Amino acid sequence: MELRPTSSPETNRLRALLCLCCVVLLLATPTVSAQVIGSGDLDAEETLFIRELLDSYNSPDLARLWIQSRIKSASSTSRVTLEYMLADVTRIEGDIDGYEAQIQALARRYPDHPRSKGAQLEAVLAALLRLDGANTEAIFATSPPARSRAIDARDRIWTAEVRQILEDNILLQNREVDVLEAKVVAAPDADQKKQLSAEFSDKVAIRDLWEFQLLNALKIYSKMLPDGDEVAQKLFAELATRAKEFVDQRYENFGRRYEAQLIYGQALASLGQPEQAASELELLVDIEPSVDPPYDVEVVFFIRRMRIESLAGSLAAYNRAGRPEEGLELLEYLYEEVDPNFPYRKTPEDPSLTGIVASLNIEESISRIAAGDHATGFRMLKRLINEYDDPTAWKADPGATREVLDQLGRGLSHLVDLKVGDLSPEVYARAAAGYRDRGLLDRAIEAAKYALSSHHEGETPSKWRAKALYEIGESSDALGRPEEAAIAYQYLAENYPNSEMVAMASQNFFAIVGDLAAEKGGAWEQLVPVAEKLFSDNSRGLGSEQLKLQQASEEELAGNYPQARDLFRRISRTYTDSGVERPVPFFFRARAGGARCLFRISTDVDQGIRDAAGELLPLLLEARNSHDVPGESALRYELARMYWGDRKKSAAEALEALSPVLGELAGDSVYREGAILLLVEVLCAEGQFAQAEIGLNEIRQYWPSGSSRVAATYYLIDGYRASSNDQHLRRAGELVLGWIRLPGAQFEESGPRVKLGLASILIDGGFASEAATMLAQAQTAARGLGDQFLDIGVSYFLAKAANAAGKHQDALDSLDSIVERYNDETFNGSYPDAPFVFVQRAAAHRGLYEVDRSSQHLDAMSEDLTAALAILDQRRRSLIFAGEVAPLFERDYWATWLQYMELMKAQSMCERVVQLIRSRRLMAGGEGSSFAPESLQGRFDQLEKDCQ
Amino acid sequence: MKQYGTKTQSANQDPNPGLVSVTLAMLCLSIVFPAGVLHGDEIVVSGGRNYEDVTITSATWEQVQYRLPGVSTSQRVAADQVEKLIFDQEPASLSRGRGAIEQGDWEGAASALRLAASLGDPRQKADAMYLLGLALLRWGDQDPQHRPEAITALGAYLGQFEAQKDFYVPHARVALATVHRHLEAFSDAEQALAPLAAGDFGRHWIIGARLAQGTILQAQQNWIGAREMFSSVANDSQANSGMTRSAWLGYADCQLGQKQWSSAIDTVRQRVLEVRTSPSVRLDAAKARGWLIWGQATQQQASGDRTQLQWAMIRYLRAAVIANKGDSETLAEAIYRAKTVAVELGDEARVEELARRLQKLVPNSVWNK
Repeated sequence: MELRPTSSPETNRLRALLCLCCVVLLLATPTVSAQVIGSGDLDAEETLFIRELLDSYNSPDLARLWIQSRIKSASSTSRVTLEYMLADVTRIEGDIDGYEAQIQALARRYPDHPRSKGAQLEAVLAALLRLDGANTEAIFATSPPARSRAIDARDRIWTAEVRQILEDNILLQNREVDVLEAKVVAAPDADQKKQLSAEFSDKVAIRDLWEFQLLNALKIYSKMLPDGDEVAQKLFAELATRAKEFVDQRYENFGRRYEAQLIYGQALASLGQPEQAASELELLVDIEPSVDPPYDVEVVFFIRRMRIESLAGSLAAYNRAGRPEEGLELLEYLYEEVDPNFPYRKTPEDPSLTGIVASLNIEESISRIAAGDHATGFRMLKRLINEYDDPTAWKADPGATREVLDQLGRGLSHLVDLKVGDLSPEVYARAAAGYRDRGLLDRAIEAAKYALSSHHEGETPSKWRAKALYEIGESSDALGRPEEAAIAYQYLAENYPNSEMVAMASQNFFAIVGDLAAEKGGAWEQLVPVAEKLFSDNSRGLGSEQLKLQQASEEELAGNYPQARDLFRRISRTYTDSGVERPVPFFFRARAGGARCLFRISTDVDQGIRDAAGELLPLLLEARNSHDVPGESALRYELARMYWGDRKKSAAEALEALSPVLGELAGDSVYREGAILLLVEVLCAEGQFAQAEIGLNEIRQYWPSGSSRVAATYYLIDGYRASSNDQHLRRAGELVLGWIRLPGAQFEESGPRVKLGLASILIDGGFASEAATMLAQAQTAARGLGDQFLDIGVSYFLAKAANAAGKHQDALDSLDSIVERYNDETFNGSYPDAPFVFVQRAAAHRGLYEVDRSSQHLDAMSEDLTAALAILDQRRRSLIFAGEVAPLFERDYWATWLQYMELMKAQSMCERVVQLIRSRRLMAGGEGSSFAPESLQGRFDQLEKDCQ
Repeated sequence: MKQYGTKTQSANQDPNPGLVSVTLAMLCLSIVFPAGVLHGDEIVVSGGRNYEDVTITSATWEQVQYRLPGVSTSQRVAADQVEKLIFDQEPASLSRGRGAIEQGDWEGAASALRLAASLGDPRQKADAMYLLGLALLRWGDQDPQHRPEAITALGAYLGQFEAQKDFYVPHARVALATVHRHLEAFSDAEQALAPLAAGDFGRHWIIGARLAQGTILQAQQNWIGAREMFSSVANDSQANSGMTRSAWLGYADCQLGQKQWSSAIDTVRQRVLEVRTSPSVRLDAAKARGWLIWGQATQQQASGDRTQLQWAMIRYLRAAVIANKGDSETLAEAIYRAKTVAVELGDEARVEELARRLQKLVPNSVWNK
């Protein structure tokens, strides 16, 4: 039911922070005009050109093209810089996880590049962007469970990915600073002291940067919490303390100290201490450059920014404390006594400052209205609204426009808090949205109600009353009060038939009443015809078609396929809106539904497919000719589903139906998303990983935060892990590391068994240390559960990780402990990993043998592998009797045999090896037959040759 | 059911609180301001086009004078037609006191208006003193100890400004009668209305007095007398639409008192809820009150029928969706009554949720006790 565009006020600030970080790190870059593709080192102009493309023009696609061309002729240093810039492109495109993964990979690959040193900090900033995304999701969630899920995700990101990382690094940095300081003091000669002092200064600068980022992060997160929330107050108190300490103790960077002072004042304001906040902020209000003119442009920019932000902060402090008169006095003093143009306003304003100038204007208008100067205050407000809530502004920069309008809404909610009466329905409706943004849903509803009874009459107030009712509906829904939401939507649809919100309200009313009728019956069931009529009347001619679609879906869900098919097929190709004939947007989807029902009705699968395909195939051409991507995607999906579903598995036909969705269609339609996901599923099942990766990339590009990304990544992981190819196993590990960060994967909530499974993939992929971290989490979660198998599993995988990391003695100790504690269970193969405990123990012995060359290890290996093979042979026989041996099992089984035979070879038992291999060949069909999976067979062949 | 019985009793002490708030909102919420300093003021009139971007020069209960931009001579409009006066410049304490009344923050309103009552300008002082009385009256609906303070405040205002024919004088007399009625001092209430009923303030206020007298009769459970009084106002061609609507609501409330459930429903549907209005209609407290009456009648007729009880719940919630805290006790009553239906329906979760909301919304209200 969410129909508002989602964006967040902090996003731009976060992006600006990221850019600042990148710019600082890129300053070292070296010369050719940016407009032509140069060669060799990247020059400052080119760097600026990319920055402009990314930030000012928001054109990541152009930037990507330019960088990809330039990278071919770049020097080795500049190539790395350009690769980092490609990561930035990914970020600007909205793929935060992809960006972070690229940054981390680049940092590992090029540890000496300046930007690699800040990679960890960039990871924190990427986490802040994810935090912002989760918060936006929480604000616009339309049900309590969705809201609660988004809030949990936000808080989890804050704790694990932001705060913890920042604090750990600050601790580390401080330790290193202390050590260096001691070295400087103890340095025996002047040269060494000088060199150490320089290192010390660098280290201090890095430490300060980390501390400053913690201030920023605290500020961002605290503002996301509901106003007055106890946790928020504690965080603001902490922020004030830390910011004050920063100002008092960190002298190296004046700019950052000023910013910390600003944060200090803002935190005090949020703590409800307006006098202190204003007095701290006023220290910045009239700051001047510390050198004589002429001033550097950057300095003037910085001074103006400080002045604007601190003045806005002072006004906000007074406004939030209910004392707008004092804010007005400050304004009058500054305008009359200091400069009528304070704080050096410009027309047109510098685009980088328009956002904060708008914040200042919002606070000033609030101060004026609340302090009694209604005329000037409302004039300012009107100007702001005309400037920002305008199609031109939305078109030019939707993100910044949304941010200013969100700020305006929040500001107006504070105006309502100040108990200023007689406001217009527009102000109340915008304030209601502001309250929702502040996490105060009850207040949002109350403010919206003031719009309903406001004395203002006419078309514009009527428009805003309708919006206020919509706000009541949304907030009621989010509070878990669907009945009141439905009533608000009904009021809207009945009383404001000309409102732009009426179609959405009717649709929401219809949806909620339908749910309540099913759940409660009675009066709600009697309201269904009213809801249907409102929906049909208000959906501008499309309503009756939509109603048929809904009814058809309901019949289908109930298993009434003939009725559902009839309804699907009654949906018209076109509808008439104000005398104009328009295509029904879901016509092809409806026909796809009709064909699906036909297939379901048929008892003969192949005949059913022939009949349904007979309907679908001609429509494909029609959909292509009318450029209906969602329609064609839906048709292709249905066609493929018949070939790859619960009744049949025929990959070739499914792939033939789906491939054009990836290769020939484009766009972010949800139906294309579904079709591509199915394509990835089939490709993975067929082992066509390269094509599946292309599908995943498409999903990552168009639907970065959708559940399809979680599912598609999972299909690939599952596909790769079953392979015996090392590269595939490594890729599975890489994908796991990306997958666990996807919010939809809900990794943090997953149980220890899931973590064990993922850790196993990481180990096989060569990510031993990451696996160890995951296993430690699993161990903590498994503790006290009394689950024997889980206990074994954790120890086993820890041992496997230790083996992979070369810590063979640790692995051996852990495995010995399992065998000792669960001797019978292990030898009898009573738990799934039993044979692999022996295999891992053999691997540990092998590792130790390579160090000490003691034959005891070879004997132990032989015993372990024999025990493992005894269990595996028995299991394999059972699987063969059951009819199917999974590829994964086959891989493990033959890999164990291979190890065993290699061991025999090492023990000079070549004859036995040849004998064994020959007998396997005979069992598989005759001399020269292959018996093992393709990836292992070659090694058996070679072994046989060597032994012969 | 015991709880419900208790509430019925407390409601009987003031059988028509919603009507009071509607009447007061209609009659009282207006402000006068000094001449010569204002720009862009607005005169909101009943049933007509408002006067925007004017300069209000004076306002008495007889007429409001204003100047148009660029015109030197004053224009005037009969005070009877004026619903509200809005000024673009005013002291913050006064403005925020009025805003606090709008938002149902009676304590905040009283505090701000006490401060504003000491303003030097006599007209601002008049505004503040009258609004202080009004805030205390509304506060008294939740906590009766403030009713005597309201009588004192309104008396102080009348003592100082009645002789000067201040715009608020008739409004203050209706408010004074309301406080007395709440204290069951019915003869004092009648006495407060006497100058209005006698025609001292013009024809408009004779009707206003009859409306207020109807509520006094209603409070004494004199249903027949009250219905006659409300009917005379509702059918008076000189009564404005707000007065007519308030009268029909009072009439329907009396029908509830007489247990004429179906008739009460017909009255609110035909006279309040389903009356054709302009597309820019306000969803105000009067409509909320109408839904509340319909809900009460439905609940009384339900006799345990789940579907009818659900309809009663829906109607109470319709009232709750549009009524705000500033609409006196309508919102609290709607939530309370919805809670009684939830009890009858055995919907424990809903009962708890509504009880929590009442506690948060109006912790001291009679509807939360």
